[in-house]
Amino acid sequence: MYDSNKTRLFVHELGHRFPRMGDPLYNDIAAHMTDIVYGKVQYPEPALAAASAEDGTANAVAE
Amino acid sequence: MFLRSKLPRSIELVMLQAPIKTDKPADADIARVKGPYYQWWIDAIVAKGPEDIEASVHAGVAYAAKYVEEHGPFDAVLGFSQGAVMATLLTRHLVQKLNPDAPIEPGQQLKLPWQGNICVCGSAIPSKAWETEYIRNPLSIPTLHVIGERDKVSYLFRRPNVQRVALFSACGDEPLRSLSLSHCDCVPPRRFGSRAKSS
Repeated sequence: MYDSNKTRLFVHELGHRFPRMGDPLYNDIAAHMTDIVYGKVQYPEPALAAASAEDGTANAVAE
Repeated sequence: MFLRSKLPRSIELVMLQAPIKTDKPADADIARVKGPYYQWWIDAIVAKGPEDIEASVHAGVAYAAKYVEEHGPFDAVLGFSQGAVMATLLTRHLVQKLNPDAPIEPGQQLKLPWQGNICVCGSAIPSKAWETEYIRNPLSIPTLHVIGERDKVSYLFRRPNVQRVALFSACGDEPLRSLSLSHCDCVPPRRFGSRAKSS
């Protein structure tokens, strides 16, 4: 489920392009983008940020 | 753009075309669309050296900054490919302009030009020196990344510990806080900024 405070990275199955038209991922991307535009996105908690930095992967905080 | 159909009507998308015209598409998929194509900075093949590329990047940032000044304000910026990196560079440029006496440092509270960045298939930061600087002193701004698993252009997955971390770090105080600007390299339509309509 989409969570604006945890979701930062959206991965689709294609290559260098937007996700396929109709991909359900668009719902979450649009939701997060809307939250950003309206200033509702909070920065990740320090512990979460540290975990992803240690891990070295963006997916550490992606849903 | 399919994404547009998923956004509330209160969000207006404003497109900005990149300034450099080229007849060379970024990849085979894009080649299916008839050119010309547009890009934010010149290719390494065309450039005489790294200085050439950096000069064209600076010109691109100035071009986009002028557009923002004349047509803004915007609430967020969205970029595809090279445009995602340009969004990042532009945001830093504007932050420095808004905070002339405050260096970009971790934890520094700075005035921001918009609420955040949306980066789709971000490619590599076109300068090793900038990349190092951005990792050392990232901006704190909400950012969203969209990446394709089989993306061969962005390098974000081929070089997970270098370019990906660099791009994600460019605008955040942790690896997922990077930011980026508009458009894409070599695809006709460019995505520049989004603006929330007042209700």
